[in-house]
This record gives sequence, C-alpha cells and structure tokens, in this order.
Amino acid sequence: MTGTGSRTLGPSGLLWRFATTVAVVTTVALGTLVGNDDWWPFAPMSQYAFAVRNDGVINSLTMDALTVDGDVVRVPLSKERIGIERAEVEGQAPRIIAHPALLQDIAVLHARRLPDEPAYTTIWLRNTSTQIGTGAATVRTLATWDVREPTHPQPSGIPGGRP
Amino acid sequence: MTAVERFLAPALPQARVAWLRRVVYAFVWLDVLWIVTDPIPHGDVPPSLYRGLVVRSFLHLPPPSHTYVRVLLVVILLSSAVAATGRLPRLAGWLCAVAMLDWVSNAFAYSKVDHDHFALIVALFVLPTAGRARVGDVDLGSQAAGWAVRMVQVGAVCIYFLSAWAKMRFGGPGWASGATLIWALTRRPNGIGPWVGSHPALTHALQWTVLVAEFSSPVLLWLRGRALYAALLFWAGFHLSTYLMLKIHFLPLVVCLLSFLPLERLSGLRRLRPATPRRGGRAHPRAASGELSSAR
Repeated sequence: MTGTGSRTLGPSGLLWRFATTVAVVTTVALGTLVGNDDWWPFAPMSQYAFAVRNDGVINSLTMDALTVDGDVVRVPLSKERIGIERAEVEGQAPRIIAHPALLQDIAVLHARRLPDEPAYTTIWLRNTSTQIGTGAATVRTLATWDVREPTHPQPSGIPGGRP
Repeated sequence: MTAVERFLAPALPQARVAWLRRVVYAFVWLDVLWIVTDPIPHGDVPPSLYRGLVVRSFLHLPPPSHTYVRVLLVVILLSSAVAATGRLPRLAGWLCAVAMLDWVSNAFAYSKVDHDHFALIVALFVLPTAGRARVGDVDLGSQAAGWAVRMVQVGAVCIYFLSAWAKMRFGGPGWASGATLIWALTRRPNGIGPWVGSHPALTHALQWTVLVAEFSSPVLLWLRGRALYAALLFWAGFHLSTYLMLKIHFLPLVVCLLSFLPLERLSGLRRLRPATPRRGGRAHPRAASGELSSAR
C-alpha cells in the first residue's frame, strides 16, 4: 500500500521540533566551546584536536607485569584481550599515579578475562617518550604495584564514578 | 511555509525515512557486534576504573556488570531488528535509542570518549518521530519525515564543523601546521601511513585540507545535485583514507551521510525487478519527479 500527497505538521508539531533542533545544536556547540568529555553525547569533538609540535615528543603508555612464573610480560591493553584499552588507561594515568592500588584492579581484570595466563605479581605503568625526527625513545616508570594475593586478587575497593 | 519551515521541515518522501531506518538499524547490529564492542568486557572491569558520564548519572544508569551488559546487548539486537522492518516504529525505535545511549555511554565511561557517534545517536532519537513509513511511500511527502532526515544531516554537519572548532580551541591556530597527524601515524601505523608520516609537508597539506573542509561543512545543508554528491564523495574518501592510514573509520558518521542521498529512488529500483514486470514501466518517473526525490 502506498500513499500520495503531502502531510504537513500542525503548529505544535513544528514548535517542539524546532525547539528540539535549537536545543540540540546549542548544547553540542557549547559542548565543544566550553564543555568536556563528561558532556557526552555533547562532548567536544576533540579527537586529534590537540597540537603536536614538529620537534616535540610522542608519549605512549604501556603496562608491564611480572608473572608468578617469573617472566616480565607486556599487559595486553585492548578490549579484545584484557578488556580495557590503552587510551582508557592513559585517560586515568593521573589517578593511577596518585593511587597505584588501582593497578590491583588491572590484576583482577586479568584474572577474570584471561584466567589461563600466568597471574601477575607486580605491575608497572610506564611511559615511552619518542622524539619526533630522531626517533630516540626514553622509557620511564610512572607507578608500581605489588599485587595482593596474585592468584586470587580482590578488587581495590577504591570508589569509581565521576570525579 | 516559512523559510525556516522549508529548511528544517521540508516535505520529504516517507520512503526516505523507511530506507534510512533499514540502513541505520541494520548498522546498529554492526556497531554493537563489531565496532563498539567494549561494553561486554567493561562488564568485567572492577568499578574503581568506571568514571561515568553526566548522561549516565542523569538517567540513573548503574556501573556496568557482567549480566547487565549481556541483557542490554539482547535488548538492542531485538529492538533494532523490529525497528528495521518498520514495525512499531516508535516503541521499538525509542527502546533501541535509549538502549544504544546506555551501550555507547558505557563504552565511553572509562576515560576515552570518541566523537563519531553524535549523528547516529541523534538519528536513533529522531527516526521514531516520523511514525509509520513504508518504502513504497515515494509520493507521500511528509514534514515529519523531512525534519527527521534534516536532523540526521544537521548531526553529521555538527560533527565536522565542531571538529574544526575543537582544533582551534585545543590545538590553537597552529594546529594545521603541527605534527598531530605524524603523532597519530606513529601510534597507529597502518598501510601507507608510515610513508605519509615521513613526509611532513604532505601531512601539513592533509591537515590544512581537513581543517578547511570541516569549517566549510555546513554548506552540505544547502548543496544540491552534483555539487552535493561531490562533497559527499570527498568525505567518503576522507574516511576511507583515515581508515587505510590509521584504522580509524568513523562508520557511524558515514552511515548518517546517507541521509543526504535520495534513498527513495531505491524504491523505484525495486519495482524494476522481474517479479513485478507489469509495473516495470513505472520505474523512471520517480527519479524525475522533481522536488520530492531531489537530493537535499
């Protein structure tokens, strides 16, 4: 069944639609003008918006762990493996540096998501600075945590939620 | 009809909304099963690493848990499957919209927020407002359909334009002459990316192109015909190149760009199929029917 002709909207139908348009466009514009990520879905459209100096350094966080087998391994920071991404850890890096006990929760996540891998006994949060141009890299340790009960780690209990 | 009315609520064919629903709700499946897959593993993340968002607090959405994210996934898959067929457009559509708001905000509640989903979220909330729409409603113009389509278009333009604005706010006027692309190519090398990254002049030219295009994006709302198709082709090429160099695709935005196309012409193609040979002769008038099926 098909129809022909034109269906117009009444004054109230037009009014709430136009008001919605103004509200949505204003809010999303304010989000980018003065807001922050907490405003999502009206957060600033800020991916790749920061400037990088042509002679600057590129920082990249990594996490390493000592396992119960005595090996030092790279913690697989991805949603497919451990369940949290490198960018998410980078976003929380200041918190982790202030409260290294949050690394206990990385051990908990590892035990839940990758139970067949050797458990972590120590976890290090590290930063690699690469000089643009020369490619020279410097690695620095930002936080260290000795996991409590490595084979059956319990969450740190540090509260989450909005800052 | 006032100028504002013609701009924000033009009488567009109901068929375009019907086609847009098929595409958008089918994309929701792709999105939750292939692109934004973080919410399932987030169900296992201890709550200490959950940061939340204003929208989650406002809607009283709790921190994700193992069972919660799996139930949510089923709700999204079922509601979008029903909405894609055009049945229960409001009930299934808004259920899907709220569930997707929960899903995507979950993905962004751990300190990493992307901006590729704004237009899709807008689309999910406005598509139900157009009510019942059939792909056969090619000649039935509707302002409700027109407003929904325009909102999706406005959402897409907001992403582009505000991306340029954000570059000025956070990166400053020197953004386009800086090393942001080299930074991205160093962290996420893929395909020809490293080669591009080793040519600073090329990366600066690409950054200037993107910045100018983003600032000019509102023109999409006024362009028509070939000029519009050329602009859409440019953006499709842009998203393809970021995928080839950085594995960043922005598909949730690309899907919303389809709202600029006269999707209702697909209904004409359906009539050309051999199954309905007696109506084959009616296929072309749709494409030539002027105002209603013109590309906006």
